[in-house]
Amino acid sequence: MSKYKLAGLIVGLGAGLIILFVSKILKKESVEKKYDERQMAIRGECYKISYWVLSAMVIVYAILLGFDAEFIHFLGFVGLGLLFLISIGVFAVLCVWNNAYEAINENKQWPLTLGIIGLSNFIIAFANFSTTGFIVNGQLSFPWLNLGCAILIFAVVLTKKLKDNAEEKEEE
Amino acid sequence: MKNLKLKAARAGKDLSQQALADAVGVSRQTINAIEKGDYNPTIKLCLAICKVLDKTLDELFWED
Repeated sequence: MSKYKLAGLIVGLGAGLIILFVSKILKKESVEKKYDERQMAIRGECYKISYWVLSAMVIVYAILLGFDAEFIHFLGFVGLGLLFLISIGVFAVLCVWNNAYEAINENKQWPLTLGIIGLSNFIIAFANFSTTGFIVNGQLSFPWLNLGCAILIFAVVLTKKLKDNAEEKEEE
Repeated sequence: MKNLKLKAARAGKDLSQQALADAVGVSRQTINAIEKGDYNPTIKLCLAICKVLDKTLDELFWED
């Protein structure tokens, strides 16, 4: 690993820890998210579905790896990370669509906060693509994970928007 | 099957779905799902709803 990469890693981890520390201080009392009985049951179902989705994808990945498929070498470690992101996405989107994502005591502004995080990931991904490129040594480069995060977050926010619109129409 | 008795009792108390949900500690969507018949509440939640609406379990949740 080059000096620059190591320095970037240390700075990134340091920044993350500082943000975590500051947010803990600002929060003072951490409020535990509260879900009602219907939400808990639905979240359980969604966990189960996302677990099976992840299992299926990892099994296919392992089989293709066993066959030494060229495609799997192209995906590399980043591809495995993307599989995890997909399963998290399945869980989040299903929860949002079934009104089980937002806790009873949660700040209603969470889609905006999430949208900002998604946008930052999108910008970071393309800023890094410009330096590292889309493919490094015949494998997907790491910024693909940022792009995956951004797409996941946008999918969650979009689902929330669609669900709110569907409920508004229903109420009319 | 829609729970029209619950909807009527709530309207009789002049409560919105959100107000009833806040009173019993659940989300508005959960009250909506119960009224639409999409969710079968636990006895604990049924009792909480009955207490807020001054009704018995039979009056709100017994199907004739």
